[in-house]
Formats: sequence, structure tokens, C-alpha cells
Amino acid sequence: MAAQALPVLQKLFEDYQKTTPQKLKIIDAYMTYILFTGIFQFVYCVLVGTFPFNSFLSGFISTVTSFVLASCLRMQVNPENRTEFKQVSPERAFADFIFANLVLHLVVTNFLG
Amino acid sequence: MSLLILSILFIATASQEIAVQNFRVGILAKDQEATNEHLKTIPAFSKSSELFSASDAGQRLYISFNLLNKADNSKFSGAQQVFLHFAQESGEDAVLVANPQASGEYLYDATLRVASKQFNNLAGKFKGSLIIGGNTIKTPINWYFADFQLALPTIPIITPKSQQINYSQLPEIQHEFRQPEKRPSAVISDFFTLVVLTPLLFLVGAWLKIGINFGNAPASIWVPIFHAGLAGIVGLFFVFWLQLDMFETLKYLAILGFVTFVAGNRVLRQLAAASKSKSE
Repeated sequence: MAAQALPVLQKLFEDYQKTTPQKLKIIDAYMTYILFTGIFQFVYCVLVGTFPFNSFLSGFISTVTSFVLASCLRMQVNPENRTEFKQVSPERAFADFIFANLVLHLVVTNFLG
Repeated sequence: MSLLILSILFIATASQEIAVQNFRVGILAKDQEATNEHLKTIPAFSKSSELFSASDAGQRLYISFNLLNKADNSKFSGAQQVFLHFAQESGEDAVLVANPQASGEYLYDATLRVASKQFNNLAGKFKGSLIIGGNTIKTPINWYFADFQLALPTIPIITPKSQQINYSQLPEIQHEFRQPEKRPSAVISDFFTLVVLTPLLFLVGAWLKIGINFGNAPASIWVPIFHAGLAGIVGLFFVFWLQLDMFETLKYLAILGFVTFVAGNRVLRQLAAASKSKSE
């Protein structure tokens, strides 16, 4: 099973490297970064404890929401979805992304304690 | 004249001599009949040589006697005070009431368990006395008739806290501050801080590998203003975290946000225009 899966995954990765636009790769890297940050935060919470619970929550919510915002940005920027978002230029999407992030992190900082 | 008769009558009623008869004392088992073989009859004004001893709370203390008018041996019912007085050597004592029965006999009969309350929770050795008095009795009686060894169940009397009087100094009440919750050691926290930051290295590495093109940025004064504005807002959030409150933060954020918004608008519009002209 693993032996079969490995070439498939390899092919997938190669295709990704070849066909994905650079913008999306940057966003993907950003999303992977957020994903792992969130996972490590959760691992800390499980292993050590939730002592400053609001801090954990705000950090974790920050990562989750950032991930969601990044995925929204990715959807709007993706050329394959052009037809879906005719009105939204990539720059407009990026501006929305930044605005949403600023509002989000104002709240997160407020909750951080 | 009538006054004289009254006074004579009073004197006549006040001058009755009484006698105690059939004075029987005993310790009985719970359901035992009060017959003479179980009880000891003590002649009046003598002291019994026997020590009446009860060791079980279920046993009964039984004392009964008759009061007679000495003059004609008729039953005497004018006694106002008919008490059995049980005194300990320490001076503690208990007074029981001998109740008159329908037959005219005075009786005290109770299990030790019931009696313990009337005994004020005392237990041990007692001197038993009979006390009889009244306004028609010429010579009141106080007769020490026997010794008792009664193992009465002593139940400590529980007085409610509100009724207890305590003159001693109470312990000082120290304010207890809320205990800080258990924290992991600093080493673990710091280690996880680093762990959480490691994806950042990955991000930088991945972006460098993919290649970020700063060259695409239009040469405009708005570009550094936009980025400085964003950095300023992030810095403001950091200061907000450390010391500011929400109102101050919103005040500064309004200024910074406006500048950044205008700058960002210009920059992104230029970019959009450039990409549009390129695609056309």
C-alpha cells in the first residue's frame, strides 16, 4: 500500500511544483506554517495544560482564523476560480485579507490578556 | 372571730407530721416486674448498706414509696416537693421528681438511658436522698438513704454555636490570597515557545525557495508608507498587549489605519492597473 502510495504522492508533488502559480505557492506555504503552529499549540495544550486558558484560546483561534482567511484569499486569487470571482481582483482580495487580519488580531490581542 | 378560726385552721393544717412507708429501691432489668424480691425495702431514716449498681443503660432505676399522715396512718397527699436528690462527691447533683401514681404511691421508674438527661449527663457514684416538703408538713424530710453506682450513658450536650460563650481569644483570621494555578516549569514553556516558532523558519525557507518577487512592487512613495503602516499597526497591537487599553489603542489605530488604508489603496490600485494592462 505504502509502496503504491509513494509514487502517487511524488507525482502529485511534482505536478504541484510545475502547475501551481507562484502566488498560490506562497499562500500554501503560509497556510502550512499556520497549520503547524496551530498543531504545536494544541500539542502544548494537551501535554502541559491550558493554564492561561484565554492565551491558549486566543492563540489557537488566531491560527485557525488566519488559516480560514488565507484559504479565502487563496480561493479568490486562484486563476481557476476566475469565473466565480469576476468582480474581485487579486489585489482587492489581498486588501480584504489584510483588513480582516487586522481586525482579527485586534480582538486576539485584546483577549490575550 | 373568723380570723381566729382561719388561723387555727391554718395552724391545724400546717402541723401535720408525715411518715415514709414501704420505701423500695432497686435496679431492675428492662422488663422486670417491680416485685419485692427484686427490690430492697429500706426502713425510714436508715441508710441501706447495699450499693445499688447499674452498669447497663437498659437497666431501670426504680424507687417507690408511700407517704402517710403520721397521726392516723392515712394517705398523705399534701406534699408539694417530692424529690430524689442524687449528689456526687464533686458537688454535682441531679434532682428527680417522684410522681404520684393513681394508687397514691410515689414512683420513679426509668431506664438509665432515659434518666441520663435528668441526671444532667452525670455518671458514676451518687448519694441518693429523699426530699419531701410542703406548707402543710411540719417536719420536712431530707433523708440520705443509699449509695448508687450508675453507669449512665453520658451524651455530651450540644449547644448551638450561636449560644456558646467563648471568652478566650479566637485565632486570628488571615486573609488567604488566591493561590496561583499550577504552571509548567519555565523550561517547558520556553521550549514550546521555540517549537511553536519553528514553522516560521519553515515559512521563511519555503518562501525563499518559491521566490518572493519584491521587484514587482511599483516604484512609488506609497509602498514604504503602506508597509510601514502595517508594521506600525502590528507594533501597536504589541504595545496594546503590553500596556495600552482598548480606547487608546483604537485612537492610535484610527490614525495608523487611515494612513495605511490610503497607502494600501494606492499601491494595490497601481498593481491592479499594471496587471490589467499586462493581461490586455
